[in-house]
Amino acid sequence: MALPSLTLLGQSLLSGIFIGALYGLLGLGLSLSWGMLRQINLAHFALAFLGAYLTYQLAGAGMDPLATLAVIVPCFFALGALMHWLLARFSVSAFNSLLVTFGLTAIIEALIQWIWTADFRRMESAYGEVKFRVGGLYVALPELLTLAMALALSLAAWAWLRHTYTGKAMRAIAEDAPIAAAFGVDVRGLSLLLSGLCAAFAGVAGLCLALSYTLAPGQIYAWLGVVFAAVMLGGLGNPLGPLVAGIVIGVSEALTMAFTAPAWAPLVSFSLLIVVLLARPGRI
Amino acid sequence: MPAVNHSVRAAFGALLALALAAHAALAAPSGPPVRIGSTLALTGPLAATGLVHKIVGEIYVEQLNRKDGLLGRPVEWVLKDDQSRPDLARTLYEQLITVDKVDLMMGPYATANILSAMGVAQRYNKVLIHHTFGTPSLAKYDMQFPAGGLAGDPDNTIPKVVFDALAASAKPPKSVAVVTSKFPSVHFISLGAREAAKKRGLREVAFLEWDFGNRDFGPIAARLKDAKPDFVWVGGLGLEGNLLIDAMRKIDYMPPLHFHLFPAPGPLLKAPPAVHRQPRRGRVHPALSRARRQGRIARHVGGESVRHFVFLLADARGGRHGGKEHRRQGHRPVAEEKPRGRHRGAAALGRPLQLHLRQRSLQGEAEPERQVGRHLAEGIRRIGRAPDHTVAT
Repeated sequence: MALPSLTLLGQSLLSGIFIGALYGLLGLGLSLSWGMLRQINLAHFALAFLGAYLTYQLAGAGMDPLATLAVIVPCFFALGALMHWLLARFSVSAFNSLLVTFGLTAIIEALIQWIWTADFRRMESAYGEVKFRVGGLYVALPELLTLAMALALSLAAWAWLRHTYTGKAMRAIAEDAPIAAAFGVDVRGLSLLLSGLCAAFAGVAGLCLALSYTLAPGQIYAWLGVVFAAVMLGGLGNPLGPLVAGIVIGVSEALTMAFTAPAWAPLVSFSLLIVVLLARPGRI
Repeated sequence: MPAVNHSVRAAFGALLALALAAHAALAAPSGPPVRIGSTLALTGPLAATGLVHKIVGEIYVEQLNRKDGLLGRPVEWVLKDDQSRPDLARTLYEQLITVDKVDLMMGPYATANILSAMGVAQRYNKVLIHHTFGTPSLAKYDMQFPAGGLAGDPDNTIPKVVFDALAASAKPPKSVAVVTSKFPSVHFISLGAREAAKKRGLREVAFLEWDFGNRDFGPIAARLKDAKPDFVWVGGLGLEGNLLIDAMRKIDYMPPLHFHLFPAPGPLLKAPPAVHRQPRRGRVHPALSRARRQGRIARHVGGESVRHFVFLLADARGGRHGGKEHRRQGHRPVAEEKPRGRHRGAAALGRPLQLHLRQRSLQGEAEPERQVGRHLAEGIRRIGRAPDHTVAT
């Protein structure tokens, strides 16, 4: 078997890092809501796609795709807070939240299909055509933006939870909400804040999806398995975990595709997950 | 798009012919409707194509009802969403027979779902006319009838026509890369392409498979760029071909020739790169201008890739597409159009082409399969200088 070229190796590594960054970005909100609020929010994926379709719509109306964040982020923050309020109002447990948010996913999918139909949609933007050449390698701007946003949001969330009072209070809630409340932490308010942030992260992920991918409502489910694997590998409630795990998975998949049969790539993420679960069962 | 138009129309047309054969009476549509039941993938991964089938079907039913209807009665299409899931398709076809009590049944979209529907039809001893069955050898039921036009052995006929055409072109490819989804009907045709390339002495520089639903085509594009094939056979279904094209463009690569097996009809038209690369007015390729003037291209559908597709087919037909005769064809019962003999193989290349062949066959003109390959090769040769050649069935 001929050895693959360095260009192929480099391009595959880059491809893996970029798709891994998207896994991380999609997994960030999911990980935080699962780890800190004990809500397994499957609707996170549907929100990301709703964000992507809104970006597509607003960009089609003449807005710069990045400027759409000014509209999408506040709206999604409110939507996320509302969803959490409803789940808390009816005391939905962690397991039941999985079922309820699956139902929400189906509703959002139907809504997307109703508005934009099941046909494929592709956002046309100036960003889509821009790419940089580094030696023999090509770096597309949309993917670079995705990596930058994933890094920025993950680091910001990590810094917020580690260094600010509200972040520490949030971690206290995740540890033991009744005790945190006894110490004067506003459990309800902070939970709403975190839910809103998680949904806003989904909106940002939606922008990245719209920049790089062709959209179809049914694709909501295509990301579910691998992002779940990234979240679980990265550790629940750890804002940097999904990004690191996502990049590890993305690079492993890309190298598998580059050196062996591409069809083996999906096995990588779940094999990694099984290995980690066996090696460190207390990880999740 | 014409392919979908034709296949759905053909299925409805076949039902119409079937009914007319039993009752030779025509009157203004009145009375209780004739209920035709089917499912389509209106949601799920195959929805983009299923939706086009729905639109075409609705237009056809509307046209039918505006004329004589079926047996003098209006037609009602009872359509359910199988969510691209074969298990659900089976349940829904049971419902169509037992609950909705439809008079006739039409197949759903795509091989796996049609197989499910076929099982139900067999159990209830019903005729099933379907239109997109990609693995004909799996259809064992006597009362199933394909109306979509694939030959009985598409793993031989499709690669044969494509490679014949390439071999006859001015610069035949010497190396080939076969990349394919593992989606069943697509995969086995791509394996046929691999065999065909081997028999013709083409050097296979890459053979890559991916699972249906693959998200990242970057490494596959990088491998293709590394392998430098003269021709890429893309066994893609739905959006996969587009995703691969996107990934190749990101690394500034496009193979000299690439063939896409079953793309969703809409996305290639809408793909921004294709639209962006339309030549400006006055800079159209001379062969294209000539073909347009001569009326061999029905309409400018936009998008370089798609235009080439239309151009090739128009050229291969060597006749007018979209004229009165062609429009009439849409209303003609498919039973009269059924391709015969060698035309079945040639028909596998593309349904618009097949439509023409059927038409020629009806008119008593023989157009051997090799002729089709020659016409296609001529089409490829004439547009050979353009940078991006996509041929799609």
